[in-house]
Amino acid sequence: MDVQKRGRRFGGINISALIPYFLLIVILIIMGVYQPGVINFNWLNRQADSWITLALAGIGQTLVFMIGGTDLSVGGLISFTNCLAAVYMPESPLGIAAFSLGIILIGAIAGMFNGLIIVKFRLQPFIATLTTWAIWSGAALCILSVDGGDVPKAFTGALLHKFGSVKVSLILLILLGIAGVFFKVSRLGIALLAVGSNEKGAYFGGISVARTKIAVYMISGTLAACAGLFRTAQVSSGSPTAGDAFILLSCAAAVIGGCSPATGHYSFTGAILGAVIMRLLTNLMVVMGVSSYMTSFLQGVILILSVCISSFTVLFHNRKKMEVDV
Amino acid sequence: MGKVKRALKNNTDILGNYVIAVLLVAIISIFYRGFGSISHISVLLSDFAILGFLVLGQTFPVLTGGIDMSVPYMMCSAAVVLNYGINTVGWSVPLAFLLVLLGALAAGAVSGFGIAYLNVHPMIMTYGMNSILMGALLSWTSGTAGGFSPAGLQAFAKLKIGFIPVITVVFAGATAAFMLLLKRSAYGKHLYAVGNCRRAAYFSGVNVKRTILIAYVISALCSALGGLIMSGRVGQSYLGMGDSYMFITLAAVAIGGISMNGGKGHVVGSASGALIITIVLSVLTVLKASLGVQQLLYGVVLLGALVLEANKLNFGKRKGEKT
Repeated sequence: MDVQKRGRRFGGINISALIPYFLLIVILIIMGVYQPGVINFNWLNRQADSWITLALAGIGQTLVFMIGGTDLSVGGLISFTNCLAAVYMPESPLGIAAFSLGIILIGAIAGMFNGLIIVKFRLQPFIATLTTWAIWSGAALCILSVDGGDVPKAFTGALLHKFGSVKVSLILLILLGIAGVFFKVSRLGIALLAVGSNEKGAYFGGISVARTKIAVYMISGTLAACAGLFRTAQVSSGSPTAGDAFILLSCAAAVIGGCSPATGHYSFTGAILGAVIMRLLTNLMVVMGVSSYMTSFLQGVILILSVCISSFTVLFHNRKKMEVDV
Repeated sequence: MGKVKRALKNNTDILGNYVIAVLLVAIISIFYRGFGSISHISVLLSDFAILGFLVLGQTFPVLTGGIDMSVPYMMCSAAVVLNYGINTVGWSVPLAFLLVLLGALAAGAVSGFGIAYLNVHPMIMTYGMNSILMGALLSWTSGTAGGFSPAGLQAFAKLKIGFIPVITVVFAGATAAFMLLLKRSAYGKHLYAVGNCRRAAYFSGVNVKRTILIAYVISALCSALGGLIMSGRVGQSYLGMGDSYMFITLAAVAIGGISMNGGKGHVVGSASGALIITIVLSVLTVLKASLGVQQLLYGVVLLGALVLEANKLNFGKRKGEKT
C-alpha cells in the first residue's frame, strides 16, 4: 500500500504542482532573451506591487476552488473596496489604520454572506457569487461613477514602504507563502481538504461542512478586500471597474497554480506563482510587441487551456476510480 | 380543454408574471402620463424583443444546469463585425450576415465543446470565451466600433405593423418555435433529462455531451441575433453595447421560473422574465437611476429570485447535493 502510494506520487499526479515552476522558468528565460539584464532585484521589487494584488485574489480563489466552489464576487469586492478607500479614506494616520481595518472587515462580512447564502439556500456557488458580484460592483458604481478619488499620501506611503531595499509587497508575498504551509496543516486546512474531496464523508467524519465553507468564503472575501487596498495604494485612485479583470485572472492564477479539488493538491506558493505568471505574461506581451488588444484574448485562451489540462488530470483520476465519465 | 387548464395550473407563476407586467405599466402610467401611451408601449415592445432574444438564448444553457457568460461580447462582436465588415472591409450584406452567424455558431460550438467534452466548468469556459471574443474583436477592428448598420437592417428593426414592431412579432414566433422544440422534440426531452440528472440521462441512452453542446450553440446564435437587431435599432454598433446584459439576462431567466440547477422551466417563462425586466429598466430610466443603482438592483433581484426558488424546493432533497 505504502509503496503503491509513493509510486503514484512520483508517477504523475504531483506533476501538476510542478507546472507553475516550469512555466515561470520558461517565461523568465524568454524575458531574459528579449531584454537581457532587466531581471534583477530592483525589477523584482517593482514587480512585486502588481503581483501582490493578484496573488491575494488568487489564493482566495484557490481555497474556494478546493471546496468545489467559485468566487466571482472578488471582482465586485475589489472594485467596491477600491472606490471606498479612494473616496472616504481620512487623512490622519490613526484614521487610515481604522479605515483599512474596517475595509478588511467589510471583506470578511461580504465573504461570510457569500458562504451563508450558498450553505443556507444551497445555491450553486457560481450563481450565488455572481449575484453578490453584481451587488458589490453596483455599490462601487454608486460611490464613484467614473475613475477618480483621492488617496492620502500616508496610506500610499505605508503600503509601498521599503524596509531597507525590500518592498512591503515582496515581504508579504514571502510571508503568504510561509503562511500557506501552516494553513495546510491547520484545523481549517484539513477540514477544507476533507470537504473538497468528499462532502458526505467529511460530514460523517465529524467536520462541520457548513462552517468550513463559510470560513473559506470569508478568507476569500478578506483577501479580496486586502487586494482592493493594495490596488488603491498602487494606483492612488479608485475605479468602479477595477476588479472585473481580477475574476478571470484570479481563476487563471488558481488553476495554473496547480490546485485540483479532485486530487487534493494545492498550495499558496502555487497560487502566488500562478499570479506571477499571469502578470509576467502580460509584461511579456508588451515586451514582444503584441498589440494590447490581444491581452484579453490571450488571457481567455490561457485560462481555458489551463483548465482543460487540469480537467484531464481529473479525468485520469476518475478513470482510476472506475467512475463513469458523463 | 382539460389539457389547457392543467397547463395553466402548472404555470401560475408565469401567468402571474405577465399579469404583473401589465399592472406595472398601468400603475406607472398613472404617475407618468406618457408611460402607457401607444408610442411608448411600442418602444417597450421592441426593447422587449431585443432582450427577449438574449434571454431565449440564455435559457438553454441554464436548462442544462450551466450558464452563458459570453452574452455581452457575443452580441457586441456580432454587431461590430457586421458593420465593420460591410463598412470597412467591403463585404456584401448577405455575406456579412452569413459570416456573422457562422462565427457565432463556431464560437458557441467551441464553448459547448469545452464544456461538454473537455469538462471545463461552464462559467470558466464562457467567461473565458467572452474575454477571447473581446480580444479578437478589438485586435481585428483595432479598437474602432464598426460604424453604421446597413440600411436594410435598420429599416427592419424599425418596421411596425400598426404599433407593434415587427421584431416583436418575430420574437414571439421564435419563442413559439423554441417552445415546440422544448416540449415536442426529442432534443427538448433530452435537454430536460440532462438538466435534471446528467447521470440518469446518460444511462437512459441520451447523448449528454451533444445535447449540452447544442444548447450553447443555440445560446450563441440567439445572442448574435439580439446583437444584430439591437445595432439595427440603434443605427450603429459600439463597443461595450452588451456589457450590462450578462446580469440582465440571468435575472430575467431567474424571474421567469427557470431553475439555475437546470431541468425546470421553459422559454415562455423566460420571456415573461424578459418582459418584467424591460419594464423595470424603463422605469429606472424614467427615474434617472444611475448605472450603479441598476446593477445593484439586478443583483438583489437575482438573489431574491434564487432564494425564493431554493425555499420552494427546501422540502425535497435537492439533486446534486451531497450532504
